[in-house]
Amino acid sequence: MSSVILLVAAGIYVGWNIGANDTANCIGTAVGSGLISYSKAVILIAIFIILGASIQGERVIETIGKGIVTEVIPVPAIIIALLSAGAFVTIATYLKLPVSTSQAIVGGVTGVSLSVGANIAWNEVLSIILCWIINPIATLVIAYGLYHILNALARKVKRIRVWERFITVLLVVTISYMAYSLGANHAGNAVGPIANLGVIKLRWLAIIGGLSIALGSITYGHRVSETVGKSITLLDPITACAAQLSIAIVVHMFSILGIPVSTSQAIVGGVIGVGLVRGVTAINRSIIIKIIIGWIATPLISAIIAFSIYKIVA
Amino acid sequence: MFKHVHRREHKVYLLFNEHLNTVGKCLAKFKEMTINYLNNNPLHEENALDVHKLESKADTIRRNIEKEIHGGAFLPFLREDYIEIAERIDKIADKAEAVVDFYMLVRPQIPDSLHDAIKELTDRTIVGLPHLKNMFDLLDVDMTKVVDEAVKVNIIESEVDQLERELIKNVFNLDIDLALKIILRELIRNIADISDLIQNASDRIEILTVKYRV
Repeated sequence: MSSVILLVAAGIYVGWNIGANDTANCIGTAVGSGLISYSKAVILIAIFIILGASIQGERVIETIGKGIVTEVIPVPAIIIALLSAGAFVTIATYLKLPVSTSQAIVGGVTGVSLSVGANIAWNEVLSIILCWIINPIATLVIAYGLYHILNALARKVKRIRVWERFITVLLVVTISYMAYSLGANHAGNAVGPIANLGVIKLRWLAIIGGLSIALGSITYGHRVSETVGKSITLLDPITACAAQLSIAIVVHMFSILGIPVSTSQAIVGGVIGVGLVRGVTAINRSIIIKIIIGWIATPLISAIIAFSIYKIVA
Repeated sequence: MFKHVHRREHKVYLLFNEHLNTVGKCLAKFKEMTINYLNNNPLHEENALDVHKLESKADTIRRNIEKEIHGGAFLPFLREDYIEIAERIDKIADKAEAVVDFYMLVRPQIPDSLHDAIKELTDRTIVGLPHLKNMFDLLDVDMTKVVDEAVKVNIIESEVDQLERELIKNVFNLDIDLALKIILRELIRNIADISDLIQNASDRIEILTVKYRV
């Protein structure tokens, strides 16, 4: 019983980290472009994160808990996987770097499983990595198309106040959908490894995951929001909504498929997609390069940390 | 969730309407004051007081507009534009008041030969305001037509510039004291500034519509 409590606590810690780090991906563009206040946005996303996790969070939990490693691994190994990923994301959040929590947790689970000597479903791991590559590309393409659709719709509006209402409604829908997708996809990152033991029902794990992510968003989500919203490219409302909506669509799609993907990767794809509409010069390339390095480093470092700690502890 | 925000926006639009009407009345009184001053009609002192009162009223309305905007009306990224528009509209009334003060404090002796030209300049410099009001009204009807009104404001401003230059040239061709020439040049420039300020406000409304078109 005490080990289960310890596992859940570790899961909540990771979930809190996800909320703190990925809140930026939900509301960074909207808050950064001045469309909505941070306090309003964070309340909205907390509600939808919990809904997304509770309604559609189980598929990703199953993939992380039972898909990557095909056998039951020891409780300490699961705790190490969770804590090493969580600690890595905490440091990244503190440094205001929007790293991928999905990559950190997949790296952590793979690293600790290697250390334990458990059977790893490499085809599953490779398909997840492939999805990590598809994720920003798909978001980029959808964002580019969505920008043109939304822009055409906005241009049909002749009255400025109607246009403002259109933008406001669009914004609320996109933020809510984005938060829903985040909950559906990332609850698995928070509590997925616990599913490996099969001691807690997936639905309950999903709810715990959702609540912990929402808690992270509310208490610590402000740190990365500014980096994502303002640093990559300057966003107008249509651009911000197109980027957000494309991310929500892609992350939701992967949640249905049970693949843990990075909202951080998706947002970069989305922002590049809408940035391309205005020409590549609108994109801050040095920040994009910094983020790409983070993508490669995150799963590797997380895997190495988890592998090493388990070896030392064992 | 957003009902109270929309109510607030409606209130701001009503305040802008009132603001523009007040500035319009202020300019009408300014014109009346100028004519009376040139005609040596003592009514010009009463007109000057009216200009002061209307400028003060415009100021109060501008402050109310800003209060409502800071209270949450409009999308945050548009708020600065609305505040800037209100401030620029207000500066039109400020300038009218400044010209009135110039008349009242300096009491320039304007030669009869310049009266018609000064009247014409005064008449032309304020004629852009109805177009400015149209521009603001069009924001809530059809933003795409705002630019047509902006063009009219720009044309008027250019015409006023031309009148200003000709008038200053005429002043310096007159056989009057140099000090009076300088005073008259100052007066003419101040009158012409009103159309510049109307154009400045018009530019800002245009920027707002450009943001929508991005």
